[in-house]
Amino acid sequence: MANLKLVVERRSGTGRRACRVLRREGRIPAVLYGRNQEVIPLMVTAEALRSALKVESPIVDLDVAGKPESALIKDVQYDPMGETILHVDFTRVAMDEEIEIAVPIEPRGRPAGAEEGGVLEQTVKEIQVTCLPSNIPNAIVVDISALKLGDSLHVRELTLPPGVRTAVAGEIVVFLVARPLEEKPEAAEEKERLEPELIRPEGRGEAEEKEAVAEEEKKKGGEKS
Amino acid sequence: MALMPKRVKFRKCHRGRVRGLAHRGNRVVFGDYGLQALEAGWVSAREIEAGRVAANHFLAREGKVWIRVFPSKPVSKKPAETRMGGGKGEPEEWVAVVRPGTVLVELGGIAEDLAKQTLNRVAHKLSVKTRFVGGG
Repeated sequence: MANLKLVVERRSGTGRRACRVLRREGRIPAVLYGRNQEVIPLMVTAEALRSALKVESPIVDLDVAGKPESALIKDVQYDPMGETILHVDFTRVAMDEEIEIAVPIEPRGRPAGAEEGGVLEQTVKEIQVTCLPSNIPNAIVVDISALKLGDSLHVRELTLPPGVRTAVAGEIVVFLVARPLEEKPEAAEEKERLEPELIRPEGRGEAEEKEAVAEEEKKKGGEKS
Repeated sequence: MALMPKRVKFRKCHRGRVRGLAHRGNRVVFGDYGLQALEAGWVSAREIEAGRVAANHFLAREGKVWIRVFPSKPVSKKPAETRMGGGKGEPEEWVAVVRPGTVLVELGGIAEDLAKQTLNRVAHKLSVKTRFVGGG
């Protein structure tokens, strides 16, 4: 399958102020680096980038001022609300060289243990895999319908697509059908606790106490005289 | 029992100002769906507990709920019909400081429509405007 083509332009201005100007104009600052070649500051239109991110493959064919480059969308920075794209990192890839990339793990089906009141827990959401850029799977789909209450599925049990391998330890649990936790009745002690305990440095506490005692004695002495 | 710290260094603290956006705790990390704050404010331990109870009751042991905020700020109050002066009031409640973007609650292991219904019920217990967000 051909990769998505993305037209990008070189940008001259770098830094916060220049990037803000770009964003106001509807363009997003980006950078291309990797394979011991030149680091190129780029800019891309917001619409083009959004359509590229909708495509499931993370590999894009960049057109940098007429020069084609295959690149991986390595990182996308969003604003704190998670709406606006602030910056994109592209890294050069060779289509005949393997790369390491994180791929999401997606469950399929309803575990058998869920009927018995079990709760499905996914402890690993992404897995680092090594493969050729053309073989990057969109997701690793796992059929979990056979999992009973208390069963778990490990990394070694995942079926990876051909040409894809992982160096992640096989004993790591990916899915788990856990027994639901019973809500513990509150202990009487907990109920009584209205205010938290104060943290006092030990040494200081004693010194303060001595000071207070000395002050009190002074006062008493003053009253007598 | 509402959430509160076990040990604190100081019983009372200044009110402070809630400025800016949430630069941390603003993504769905543990579950699949979340409830994101759209405005700044204080969410009390009582609200958090009410939201948790509402979610657990509606889900009836299905799925998993994560509370992503903790009320670590004491709010003091003077008793009713008291003249001004006499120092700062006694701690009344504990609140979590929330900035726009903070993910307050997360849900996992359930379908999206059920998650939306559950988080809608949680949102009604909170004093800040929120929205439903998906994971990823």
